[in-house]
This record gives sequence, C-alpha cells and structure tokens, in this order.
Amino acid sequence: MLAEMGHLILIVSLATGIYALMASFVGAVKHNTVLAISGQRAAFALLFLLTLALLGIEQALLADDFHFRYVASYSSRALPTFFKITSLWAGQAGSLLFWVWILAGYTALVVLIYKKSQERIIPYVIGILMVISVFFISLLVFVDSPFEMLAQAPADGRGLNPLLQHFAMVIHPPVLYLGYVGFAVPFAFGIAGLLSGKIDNSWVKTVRRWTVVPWLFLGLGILLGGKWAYEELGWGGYWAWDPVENAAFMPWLLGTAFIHSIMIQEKKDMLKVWNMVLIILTFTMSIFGTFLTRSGVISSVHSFAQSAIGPIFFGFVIFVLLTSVYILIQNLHLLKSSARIESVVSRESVFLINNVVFVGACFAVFWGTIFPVVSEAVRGVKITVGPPWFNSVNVPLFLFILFLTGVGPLVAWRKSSPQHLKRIFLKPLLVSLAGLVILLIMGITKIYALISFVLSIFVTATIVAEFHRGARARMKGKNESYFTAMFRLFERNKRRYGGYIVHFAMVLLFVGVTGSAFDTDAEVVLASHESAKIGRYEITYHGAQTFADEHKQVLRTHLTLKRDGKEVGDLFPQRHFYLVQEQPTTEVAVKSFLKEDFYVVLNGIDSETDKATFEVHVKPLVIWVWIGGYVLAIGTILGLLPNKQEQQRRRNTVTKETVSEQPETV
Amino acid sequence: MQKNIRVYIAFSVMIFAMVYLLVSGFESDNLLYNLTVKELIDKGDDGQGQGYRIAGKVIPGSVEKAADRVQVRFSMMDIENPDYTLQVVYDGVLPDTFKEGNDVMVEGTWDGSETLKATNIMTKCASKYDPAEEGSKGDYKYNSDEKTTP
Repeated sequence: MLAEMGHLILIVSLATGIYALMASFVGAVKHNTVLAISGQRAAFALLFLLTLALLGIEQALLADDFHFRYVASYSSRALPTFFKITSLWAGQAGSLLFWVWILAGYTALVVLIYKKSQERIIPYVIGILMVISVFFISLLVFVDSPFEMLAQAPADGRGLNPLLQHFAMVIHPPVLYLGYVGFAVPFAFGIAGLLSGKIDNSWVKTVRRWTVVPWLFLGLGILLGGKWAYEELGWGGYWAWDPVENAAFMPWLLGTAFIHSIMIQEKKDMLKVWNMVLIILTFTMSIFGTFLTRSGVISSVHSFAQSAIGPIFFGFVIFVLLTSVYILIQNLHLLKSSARIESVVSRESVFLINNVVFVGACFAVFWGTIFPVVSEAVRGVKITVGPPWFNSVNVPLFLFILFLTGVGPLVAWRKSSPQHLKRIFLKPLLVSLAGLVILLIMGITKIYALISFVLSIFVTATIVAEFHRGARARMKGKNESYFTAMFRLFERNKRRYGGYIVHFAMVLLFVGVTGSAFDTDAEVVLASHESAKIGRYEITYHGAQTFADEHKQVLRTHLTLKRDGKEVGDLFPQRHFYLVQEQPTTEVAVKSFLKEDFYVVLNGIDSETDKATFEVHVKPLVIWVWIGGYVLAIGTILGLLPNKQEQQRRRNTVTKETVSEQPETV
Repeated sequence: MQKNIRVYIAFSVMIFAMVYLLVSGFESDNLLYNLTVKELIDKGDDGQGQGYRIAGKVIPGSVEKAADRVQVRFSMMDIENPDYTLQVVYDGVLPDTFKEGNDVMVEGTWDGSETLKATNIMTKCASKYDPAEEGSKGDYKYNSDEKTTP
C-alpha cells in the first residue's frame, strides 16, 4: 500500500521541502515569525513523509514485491529477512533516500533543540538544510526513483551481492551516512550565521557536538569498511587508497582539522575566516564523496555511463562550493579576528600547523584521487597513481601529525618558555629514547616504522604524564586518593581528557597500521594430513568437505594451527558459490593475536591431485586498528558528555536571563 | 613584529615541504598508465618497463590455475578489437568477482614480451555489481554501488 504510493509520497515530500525552504528564508529575512514557525513545521512534516517513503520500500522488500525494479535488483525470496531490510541501502536509489531521510532527521533534531535558544538563526539553518534536502529529493523524483515499477515482475529477484552479506558491510553504509550527512549541520550553522549578518563565536560552540558526532560516525564507518575489506575480500588488507575509500577519508581529515581549529576560535577569538572555509570544504567534500561513490567517475572505465546522476551531482558540488564562498566573501567584514599568533611555539601555532597538515593531507588524497581525470584532460593519457604514491606522500605527513598529537595539547597558549617545555617534555622524551633503544635491539630498522613506533611511545608518554600531573595536583590540593583524583579530574573536564583518549586511540591506529610494514606472505600446497611451517606457525591440513544450502555451495577446508609448537585453534578457510548470483566468494579464516593476525585464504583444490593451495598472510598488529576504533568511540563519547560545571553554568545563566528579562516584559 | 616573521617563515617552510612531497611522489614507479590491450600492444617496445593498468576482457576458456602453487594464467582481449590479445600471469588469489568473459583491469609492469606480470587484478567497474547479463530474468539493468574489489 505504502509502496504503491511511494512515488507520490516523494513528490509531496519535494513540495514540502520547497515550501520549508521558502518559508524559512522569507521568514528569516522579513523577520516574519509566523512564516518561520511554519517552515519549522514543514521540516517535521518532511521527516514524517520521508519516513513513510522509507517504510514503503521496506514493505516492498519484505513482501518480495518484484514489481519494483529496486526490489528485483537487490533482493530475492531466499534472502534472509535481516538482509532484506538492509537491502534498502544496497543500491543507488535506496541509498539516496536513506541519505536524505537522515538529513531530515538531523534537521528535525536541530529544530527541536534550538528553536527557542537560537530563534534568530534557526530559520536560516532550516533553509540551508532544505536546499540540500530538495536537491536529493529531486534526484529521487526525477532521476532515480526507488519506486520505479517494472512492466512485468520477474519470478525472483537478483538478490543481494553475496560480498555485501557481512555484518560490517550491513552497518557500514548507515554509519558512514550519519557521518557524511551530519556535516551538513555545522555547515548550515556557519552559513546561517553569515546570512543573518550577526555572527559571533557562539556558533562554533553550538556546532562542536554537531561536528564531533558525525566525525565519529565517519571514522567508525571508514573502519567498518576496512574490517569488511579485510574479512570479506580476501586480499589481506583493509585499506587500498581506493577512490571510494578516499571519498570518506577526505571529509574526515577536514573535519578533524575543523574540530581542532574551532577550539582556537572559542578560546582566542582567532581563525574565524579559516574555520568558515574549513566547514565549507568539509561539507563540500562530503557531497563530493557521495558523488565519487555514486558516479563511479574515477574507478569505472565508462565514466558517467551508468546514470545521469554523475554530472548532476557534480553540478551540485560546484553550486554548494561557489554559493558558500560567495556568501563568505560578501560577509568577510563580520569575521575580524581580535588576536594573532605571537610565537611558533604556542598552542595556537601548533594547532594551526596541525590544520595546515590535515588540509595538506586531504589535498594530497584529493589530488591522487582525481589525478586520472586530470591527466586525461591535460595530457590525454589516463594515469592512475597507486597506493605507493599515496603512501609516499601521506606517510610523512601523518607521522608529523602524530608528532603534533603529542606536542599540541601540552604547549602553552601564546608562548611556551623553554623552562615550561623542558618540564613538560623531558620525561616523555627520555621514555621515547628508551623505547628507541629497545626497538633497535628488537631489530626494527625500517625507518618509517621506527619513527612511527617511537612517536607512538612519545605521544602515549605525554598523555600518561598529563593524566598523572592532573591527578597529582588534585591529590595535593583536595587531599584525595590517587584514583579518586584521577576520576574527579576526568569528571571535571571530560572534554579535555576525552580528547586525550581519542589521541591515544589514534596512537593505537598508528601502531596497527605500522604493523603492515612487516607483513609476510606465503603460499602453501598441502595434501591431506600434510603440514607446513610458516615462521613460528605450523598448519596441518585435515581435508575438505563440500555441502550446499538453499543459497550456496560450500567448499570448506579444515586446518589446525600451531604456534611455537602449541596448538592454538582450528581454521576453516572456505569458498562459497552463490547460486542466484553465480558468484564465488572467498571466506578467509583469521586467527588474531595481540601481536599479529594469522590469515589464510583458500585458493582452491586441484581436482586431479586433491591438493589444496592456500595463501597465508602473517600480519603484525592488525588487531590494534580495531581496538583503536573501540577506544576512539569510547573517548569521543566521554568527551561529548556534559561537564557538571557546564550544566551548572548553563542553569545559572538561564535563571539569570529569565530574571533580567522579566522587568522588560512587565 | 619580528616574532610574526618567524611564524610566517615556519609556515612557509611547511607548505614548501608539503608541495615537495606531493611533487616528488610522481616518480615513474608510482604511476600506472591506463590503457586498453590494443593501446599497450601498439606501444610496442616503447612501452617496456612501465607500470600499467590495462583494461580488457577475459577470454573464456583461457583461465588456468596452477595445481601446485597460487598462480593463475589467462588471456585478455581488447574490448573493441578482439584480435588484440595479451597473456597475463598473476601470483595471487583472483578476486571473487573475476569471471571469464567479463571485463577486468590488470595492473602490472610490462617487459615487452607477450605476458604481462600482474601485481593486482580488479574487475572493471570496481564499484558496480553487474550480474551475468544473460537476460533470462528480465532485461532491467542493475547497478549496485558498493565496491567489490580493493
């Protein structure tokens, strides 16, 4: 029922979006409260309508209604219910609907929270978010509708690509979208501030949480994508500088820069224009990322061939960029900074250096990603730059960023004296030096890996020292035990110490990624009950079995794994063959240790000799990438929790305001 | 004022360093020329020792897996000019979406011989999922958007 009305619902959504856009902007410019409030209501209505549309597709997916092209393309009768539900984001039209639905959700949330406290600016915010919504809904209505009907329903659908039937891949798109889309909110607040003509530093305070949350989602989305690639694709890695990966990484880099630089504006009233530029670029990159993923302009040989979406999207990216920059230039006079940088060795300066490097890294990734298109346009030859290029440019930059992670939070504002620097950094430096000696004794000589590990030790040492110093100070001042002091310290300043935990998560990620410098590969061919040694490991092959269920045929091999002569578990590398899609999938077997992963891919079994060939990767420290992801989530969430003092202050100001306002209203 | 000059110098040095990194990355080792099978063969001896990403179609029946090691050999032909063919040898596990008769992209260096030694194999339309197009299940088009190769 809903599904049949789906396209109609989308058309009504489009009208609602256009109405909300106009009502909000006109209401804002003319100071017409009635219109502005009507715009807010339209924003809620839009969320309601898009929810209906979403339920419509879900209904069709669950009912196996193959009249709908979308259902026929991405679902099938035999698909488990869970995957039927998540098929919503398996294809383009569904993904776009899901994208704009999240945007409508964010919009409604912003209205709910700020309609009173930011009354003046909120109509502009809604208006800007509606411009984006209207664009996406137009795509759904005019270009690629998820409700497109087929003249004749096929007996069964094509089913979901078996490679996508994996937990990480199921939650990867929604998590990623929550990130991409979320950057629309701080962007809208920034532009709204400019348009309203009255902008102070309060917008950066307002948007901090609205930036950190999408930033976390985007980061986790990237990691989930990596996890999926690692476990599902079977080439033994989790990151390949693929355009689709870069598409998510670029806004993440810029968002990271933004999160850091708004602290400077908040505390020192500086970098106002820069922050505006950053958030414009971050959001533009989010849209550009969606465009890269959707259009296939880079990876596909038939550029733009698949749908008309590519050029339209590209037009929208340009539109967003040019309009925002125009609005920024028109309102530059609103953004005069009161302070300037006084010393290279100051927190302001280190934060700005951090920003330059993050933006530089983003530009490098951008340049590498679009290079095939640029070289084709300029020189007539399409040249791809592979992972070696990306690594050679980015590794030094990221090592420098790691260094700044240790230095940045500790140097003083304005100017750090040599004495201060010595007091703060002497111990971490000594610890790092000791670490360097140990690493050299362990025989690690690869220069980048060595630098990365030593810097990781350095940053960890500065973070530990910082916690310790704070706790010691409280112990003395408040007469608390060490642990109470540590806990209170955290409770008192969750934002700061949450930030340190996030930094520590980055250290773990660096450690995990650096491990890849020491990967070893081997291929082994084994007859039944034969064994092979790979480094300190030994695998024994116990034969294979084949069986089938309604979806697939399975070829399953059985290995036992010994480490230093001790049995540590069974491994079952497999190959599946999915019947509906006529596609094989490699199911890798991984045994994770804190020190390294033992990763086995079944290449095949020879039908004549009955020997099985395996590809084996020993991958040091991989698990720390995923652990880093968990720590990242924990640290970010802790940093987002409200501080007691902050709540207290807010309560106080509210009472004060109501008190001071009363005489006026009387 | 003098302090501000130092700040400017520090930032200029950094930006120069980054530009240097960006430019120095463009060594020929790091570049892959995207060509079709025909374009590569037409290059002849000029094209030796370079890195390539070659687009073509896997010739049905040409795929041979070695029994005793992880190695595969196959031939690919130019998509538009099937007379131009190229042999490929690859020491690795084929991606799951690799199929005979389908389009592939093969990365590797070419020593001018008949065989390209591949370092990486990607199914073409890396981010598109196109199941076999026999048309037995209706003639509607598919384009999923998730990537299926690294």
